Amino acid sequence: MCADLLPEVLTRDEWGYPVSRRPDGALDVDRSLREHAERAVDMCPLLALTLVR
Amino acid sequence: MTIAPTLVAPPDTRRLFAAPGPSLAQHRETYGDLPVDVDLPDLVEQAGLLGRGGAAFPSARKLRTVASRGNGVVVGNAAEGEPASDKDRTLLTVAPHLVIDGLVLTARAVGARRAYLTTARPEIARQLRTEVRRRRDRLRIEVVEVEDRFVSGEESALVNALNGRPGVPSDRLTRVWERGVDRRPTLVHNVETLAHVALLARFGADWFRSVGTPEEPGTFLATVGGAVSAPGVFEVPYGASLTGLLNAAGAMPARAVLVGGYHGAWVPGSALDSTRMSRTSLAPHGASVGAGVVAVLGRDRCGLVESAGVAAYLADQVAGQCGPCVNGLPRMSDALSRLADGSRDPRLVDEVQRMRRLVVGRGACAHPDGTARFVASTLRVFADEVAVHLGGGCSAAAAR
Repeated sequence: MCADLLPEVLTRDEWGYPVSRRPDGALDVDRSLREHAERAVDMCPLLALTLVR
Repeated sequence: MTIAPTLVAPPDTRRLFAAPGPSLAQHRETYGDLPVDVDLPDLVEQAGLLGRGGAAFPSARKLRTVASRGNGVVVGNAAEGEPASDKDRTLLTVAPHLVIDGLVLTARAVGARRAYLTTARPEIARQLRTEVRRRRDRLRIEVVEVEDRFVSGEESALVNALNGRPGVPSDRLTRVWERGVDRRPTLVHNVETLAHVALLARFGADWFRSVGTPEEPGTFLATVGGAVSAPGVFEVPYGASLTGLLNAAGAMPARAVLVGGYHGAWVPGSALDSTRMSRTSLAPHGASVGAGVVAVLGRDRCGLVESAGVAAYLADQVAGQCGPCVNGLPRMSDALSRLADGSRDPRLVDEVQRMRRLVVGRGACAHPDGTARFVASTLRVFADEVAVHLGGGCSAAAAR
């Protein structure tokens, strides 16, 4: 679910956990996506995400 | 800094193991009294001491951070969750007062009035309490037993255990040197690091740096095991040749040697003669000195089979907090085991690699990363053995 809120950065692995969409595994979020990132963190039912400055 | 006038600094690489016995009297006879008026942060920085718990973090940096925050707590870590390591237990049996001296000096330097010594072994805890009681330090030292699990010695896991919580790692967002035991800045040092502190406080930074390498000064304790006739813990300088260490332990001819422990990497037999126990020499193999574990794989064993056993153990030791690790490590281990057991499905190699890439950086601690590193090294160094297995054979069976 959280991955759907930030599809630019995240997808899900086969167990449903969020994982980076990028081949290098990077998780940096562009400032323009910050609100979406915050919502993804709040809504993740697995508490698997944290947003770090 | 005071040095006992009649005392001679250990002249060679027999430093931590120079004492004839573990009693307080023998300790004082060999090393002299606890020094006073020591500027420990400066001394540790000049000595270039690196942590001996596996991460080789510059000790002066942690020391200064906790000292600057005040109201700190010091923890001497002998949890030694690594099954192939015996150095901390041995050090505490042979020179417990060096460790306690280091703890007292460090606590003084950071203004801590409370310190802990942690171990997973009840008999070591008992012995330590006895030795602590024999001393007259003002520092309050509590000896605490922790669970004997692989991750127990990770610094945040240790702090959690001391705070009365489950002894599993925390996310790295708050580091223990900011907020740790009882929410105080906490300095966690491996017990071997503390023992080195006790010596360099007496004999100085120049003495400390007189052996080892400029980048990794001093000696360290190596646990040598596996296909060796005289397994044990050896004190060697950084930069020592790997074959020298293997010979000291009576090693048999080796297919490969695992360096650094279960989160380490394999050095192939062909590279042993040219490899030294130093960061730069081991880095091309994906290995580092770590906590000094050196495990020899004999020619009668199969690298794939032994590695699958290690991977299975590591999968079993997950803390259970993070999905990618809980799910990924057993999958990776199962695929590796099936390869080791004789399955001829080449897709198993892809499965191992896929899982390996999937778990890295996605846990609260370094357990998945370290396991992935070990598995990557296994597939690289034993690539020929993988091919043999996929062809229906096994080099160990052929060797018998």
